[in-house]
Amino acid sequence: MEVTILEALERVLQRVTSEPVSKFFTRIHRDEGVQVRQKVQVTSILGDSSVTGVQIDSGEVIDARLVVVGIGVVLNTKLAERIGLAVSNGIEVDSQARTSVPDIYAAGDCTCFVHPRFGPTRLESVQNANDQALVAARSLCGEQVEYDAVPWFWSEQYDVKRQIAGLAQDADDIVVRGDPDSDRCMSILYTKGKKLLAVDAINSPRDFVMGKKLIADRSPIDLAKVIDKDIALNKAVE
Amino acid sequence: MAKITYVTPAGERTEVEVESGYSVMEGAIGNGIDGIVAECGGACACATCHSYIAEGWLDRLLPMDDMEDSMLDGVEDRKPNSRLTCQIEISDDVDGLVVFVAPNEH
Repeated sequence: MEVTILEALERVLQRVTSEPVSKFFTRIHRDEGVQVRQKVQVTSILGDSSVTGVQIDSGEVIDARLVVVGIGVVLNTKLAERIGLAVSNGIEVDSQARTSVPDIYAAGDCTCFVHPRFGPTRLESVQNANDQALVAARSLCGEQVEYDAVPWFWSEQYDVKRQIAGLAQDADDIVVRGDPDSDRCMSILYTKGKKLLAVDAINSPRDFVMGKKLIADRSPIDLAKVIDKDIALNKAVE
Repeated sequence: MAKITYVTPAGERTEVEVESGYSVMEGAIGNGIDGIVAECGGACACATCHSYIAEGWLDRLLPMDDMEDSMLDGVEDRKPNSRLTCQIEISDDVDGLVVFVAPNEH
């Protein structure tokens, strides 16, 4: 099957990750024969009873018999608003999954909350749906809980397993362990000062599990050591 | 088909029949066994199906690969008989297997 990826932004995965990771995934998809075209806008999907092609902003038509559309989500907060819940970028909840209205709780993709480590957060992920639901349940049962789980995500493409822990938006530096131009496994660390905020581990499960712990423990890391791929992450702590 | 016994950290024993081809993790999810969360759905990406294998059984299972070994490096309370149950496939060979669910890390 011939596959073409049409990406509206300047690089694939731009909304969710750093430039080295985008570069890596562009390369591995191209190695597999996928056409990756970035910064193109789809203007129409052509066909009568079934799809025949996709037209892009240059006027060019790319033949296609199957189109997979990935455009994200827009929150439907109508019900929440109707019942008077505070809504901003999602239904506002506190660290115990309580909304602004007594006796109403919310959990999952639809909520925004202040994460003690990462600040205002709204997550679209399985981990968040599970962990925040657990917090809501415990909170409903009268327990004192605080939702502070380190967010994590994963994706599998070909033989590549990508695991991400933490959130990188506040990072002021990026450390690449490996070479995005040639390696099949590497990891990217997102740091702020000596704090590790997030790790993007590609076929590097040890960096994922150790990085996740360092994020949770708020351990200060040794920036001179973490750049060395051969030093285990848990040995790169100050 | 294999009979699998799950023992939760609270000591609750549940014996179920699981069809061949499924994983030990899927057998737990399908039967509501407490403590096996399987957040990643069996992709060997999260380690929330961590369990301990009963004595005498470890050598009878297919050995773990490097991915599973690496993920287990990240769990609390790893023991020599730790396994991720999403990586153990049900077959007649595992009939009678007993797994002890590891304390949940949530």
